[in-house]
Amino acid sequence: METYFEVLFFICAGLLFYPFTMQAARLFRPSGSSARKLANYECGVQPIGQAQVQFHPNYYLLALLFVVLDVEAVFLFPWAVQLKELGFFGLAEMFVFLGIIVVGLVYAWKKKVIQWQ
Amino acid sequence: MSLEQLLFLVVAAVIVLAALGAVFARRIMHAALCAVVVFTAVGGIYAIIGSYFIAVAQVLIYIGAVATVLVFAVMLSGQKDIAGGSPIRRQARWKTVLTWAAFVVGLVMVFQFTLNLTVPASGPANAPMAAESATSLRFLGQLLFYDYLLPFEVISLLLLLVLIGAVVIARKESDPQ
Repeated sequence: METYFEVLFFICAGLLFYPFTMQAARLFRPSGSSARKLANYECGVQPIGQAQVQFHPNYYLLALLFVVLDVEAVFLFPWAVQLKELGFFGLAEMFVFLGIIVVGLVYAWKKKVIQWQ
Repeated sequence: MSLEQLLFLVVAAVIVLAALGAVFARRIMHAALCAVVVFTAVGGIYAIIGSYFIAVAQVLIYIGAVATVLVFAVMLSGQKDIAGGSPIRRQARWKTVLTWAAFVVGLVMVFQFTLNLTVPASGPANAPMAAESATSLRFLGQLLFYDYLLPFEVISLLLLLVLIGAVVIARKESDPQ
């Protein structure tokens, strides 16, 4: 667990970074504000409407594809460290596993989920 | 109090607070982000008890993928769907009472169950697990490919079903072609 203290340190540093930089900036910046200054910044373009707009459902489908492929990727780790011992059998097994999922991916591709319209 | 216990208490407090935030947040996007904090802290619990692979899997799947799906689901919903905050705030009073009653009963049951539980002495304190952490992934691979080969392959079928089901349902709802 000791090696994970670096992760803990990283999280704490990340949590402290935001308030620290904001306070540091407060020391140097001029105060005083206007409605225009408080507006959302979007590369200098005037913001239109509200931030919460309805997105295209295709995003959601892509995210679902990502979940499936992510779960599949997690199973690669125990396989990869054990590959030498498993030999050809393990390699074949993983190809069956991946092959089945690739069928789904090809199906999604054929249904033009990945394509942007 | 050992270091593990202290860490556990901190992480558990984060989990409880973020979970309450997810339930009571006024804006649904804040609820989703609170859920992501819960996922992260649960990954921390896994790391504390020494199941590092599960912790990494938690980060990869829950923070990487499920959080994305959550946020996209919120972005998909229109203004009118999410006006007025969490649906819990709009429930009838008897429903609220019922929910709280169920929550308390569940909590009591959990306590009862944990008090009766006798844990085998393999925690991180006496650490055979932590010592084996370099090999535990190896062990998992062995289990997966020798003893649980069929379930492993069935998982791929399940993932295939999820893929095709998601495509079929979403296509039908978004634009019938």
